[in-house]
Amino acid sequence: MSRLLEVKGLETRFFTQDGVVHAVNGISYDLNEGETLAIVGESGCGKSVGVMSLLRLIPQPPGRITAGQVLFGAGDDRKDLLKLSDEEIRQVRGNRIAVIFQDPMTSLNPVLTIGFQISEALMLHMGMDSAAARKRSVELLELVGIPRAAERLDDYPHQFSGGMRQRVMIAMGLSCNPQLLIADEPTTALDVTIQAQITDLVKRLRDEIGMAIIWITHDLGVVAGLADRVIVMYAGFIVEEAQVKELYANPRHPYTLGLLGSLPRLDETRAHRLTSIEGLPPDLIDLPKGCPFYARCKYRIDICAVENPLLLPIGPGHKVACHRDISKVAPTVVDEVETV
Amino acid sequence: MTNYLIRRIIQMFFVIMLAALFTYFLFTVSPGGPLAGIQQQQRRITREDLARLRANYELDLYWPIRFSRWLIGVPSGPIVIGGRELFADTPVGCYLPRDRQVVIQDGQQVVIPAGCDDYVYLSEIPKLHPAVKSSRGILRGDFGLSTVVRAGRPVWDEIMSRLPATLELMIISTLLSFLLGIPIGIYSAIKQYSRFDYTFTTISFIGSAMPTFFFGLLLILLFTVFPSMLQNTFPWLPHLPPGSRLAVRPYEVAPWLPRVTPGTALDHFLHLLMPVGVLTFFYMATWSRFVRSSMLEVLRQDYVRTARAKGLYERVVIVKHALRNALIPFVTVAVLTIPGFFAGAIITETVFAWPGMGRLYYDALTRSDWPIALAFIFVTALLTVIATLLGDVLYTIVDPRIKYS
Ligand SMILES: Nc1ncnc2c1ncn2[C@@H]1O[C@H](COP(=O)(O)OP(=O)(O)O)[C@@H](O)[C@H]1O
Ligand SMILES: [Mg+2]
Repeated sequence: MSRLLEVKGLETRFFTQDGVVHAVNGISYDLNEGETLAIVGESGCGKSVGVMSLLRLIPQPPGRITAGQVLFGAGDDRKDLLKLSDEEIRQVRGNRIAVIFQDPMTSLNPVLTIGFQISEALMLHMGMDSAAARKRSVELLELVGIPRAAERLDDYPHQFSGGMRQRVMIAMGLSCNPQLLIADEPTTALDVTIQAQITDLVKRLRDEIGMAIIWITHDLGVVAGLADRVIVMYAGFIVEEAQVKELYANPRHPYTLGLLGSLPRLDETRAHRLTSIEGLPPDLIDLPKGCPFYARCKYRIDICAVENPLLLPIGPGHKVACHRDISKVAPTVVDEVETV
Repeated sequence: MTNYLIRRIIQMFFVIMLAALFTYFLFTVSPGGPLAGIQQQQRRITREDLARLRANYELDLYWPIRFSRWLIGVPSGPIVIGGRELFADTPVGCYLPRDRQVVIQDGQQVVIPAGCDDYVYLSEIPKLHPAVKSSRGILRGDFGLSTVVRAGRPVWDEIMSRLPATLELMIISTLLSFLLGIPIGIYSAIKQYSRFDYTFTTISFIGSAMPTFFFGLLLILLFTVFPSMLQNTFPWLPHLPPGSRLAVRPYEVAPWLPRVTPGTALDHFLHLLMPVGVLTFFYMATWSRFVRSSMLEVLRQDYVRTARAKGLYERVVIVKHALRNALIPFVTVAVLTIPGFFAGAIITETVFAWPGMGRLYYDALTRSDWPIALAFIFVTALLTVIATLLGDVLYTIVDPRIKYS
């Protein structure tokens, strides 16, 4: 497996009237070809801004990527996306890296037909003529499981349900055979049953097509059966990174522990109160000096208030940013979690 | 859709009728009117003279009767069914109201009508108000006769003679303001908070906040008054005609331009410059602000981000994905300019003595020419409801989400 993406020290800020929002604070991670990486964290912790920065899709102004590198591609083809010209990054968007957004109700243009919106990218990146693009659009809609695809090509987004629209978004995302698909909470806005369908669809398509995926979610529950590796973000920092099994078996950051503790479990025999993490994430305009999780942490010690711990390896592929080894301090709360 | 249209048209009919009734009533009860001041001017006027004057303006009829005659032209005499006259003896007005003088505290004498000495009966209408003088009703396309501004001439003729000037002024200014305002609005939104944006939001703010009469006078000052005053020092300053639509005799604008012959295209153009300038500036300010804000709203939308994420050219994102949506509210509001093509611009036309509808309305109001004023309001109201319907129908065309049933 070769490296597809390498993010180094990515830092994104929003220069607003209220002050500088430290949305992403020097995050580094990498991704192999065909690999699925999940990014989890409560809402507002910089997940979307973090991935949108890869494609420079954050609104500028007020946003600005203030530091970092985003190396994308294999071998000689490898380029820093942050250094590309506008025209070069445009050729990457939708073509080599595609994005699916959170809310399918608002992510499709209401006045253009589905067929037009899919064909558009095909004609642009794949050089198809309109007839070929139309034919391919039908295939793509069939691929994502839209019934009577050919007839629905001339329908408008409002004529589809939320789940169907997300399928359309996926078809659109996959249209140019991207090497990387970024899915920004693609199921959050959907009903629970539809969520599972969409997740399954993406899994199936990944196995067929073999693209790498960055799957953003605030729900650790959906991650288990889907991702190879997980990154946990908090207040614009990566606080833990591990293979998915390792993370469930051996969570080492108090925040990860909290996230796992708030999951419902299927093997629960007695009624068990879901623990949720108390308190709120820190204000990203006024970040505390020490560990950003300090205020909510059950394991905090004095040094946590003054020094933000570095993200350091603690085992194979497992990194954590914590001053303490919490597995020694308290028993692990969650040993294994069923896929929900 | 057909059902919807039928329902809307029926609704429109009632709205128009109500508007007509309401305006007619307001004109009836409002102080002033064609006879205001006559008693003060001529203290010696006899009751009989006054009665004749009142009858001249149909003021001898009760106002609902007058309204009905204005609207549909009836009653024009007794109702005849099977050769028998019905209601011939029903009073429909008062020819000689009985006056009573009352003294109010501060010593002023005020005349208050009390009762009637000579009623007008239905059977007398043909004699008192012969068909030649009265109208067949505005609903049948007869707007009646002007009473003051063009006394005795049909209102319709007067409107027709004024309409070209107003159409010219309004269509040119409206189109120019679209042509300038829309691109400015779009560009301001794309480059929000840029120097361009700040400059033009300031200009539009001034444009929509400054009264047109003030701006009009300012232009006259700048392009007519000052050049005349400074003729000796700066003889090359152009001197624009300050008003009206065409000149009467040849005139000179600037030494570097040929003498202008009245009635030529150049004469036309020079007279249009200032009023068109004022209106274009004013409308442009409105439209650029409107387009800017709706474009900003759309640029924030998720689907614009989707379009960018697809790798589309920024130009395509703006024109196909954003603008298409931003123009939806614009189109439906832009049709509301249609009544203005008839109604003109009251203040600007008055400032520049432009012989159009707005000026006519102004004259009609100040000189109490009710038939002209009422016709103006009626047609404007009619065009407004038609334009509103048109806007709603356009909505279904430009926005696939909207369907009426
Ligand atoms: N356009 C923007 N202007 C100012 N702040 C923003 C903007 N977009 C996002 N932010 C801030 O960046 C932070 C991270 O947001 P986001 O990445 O969307 O969170 P999430 O993890 O829920 O995806 C939030 O505090 C948010 O308020
Ligand atoms: Mg998000």
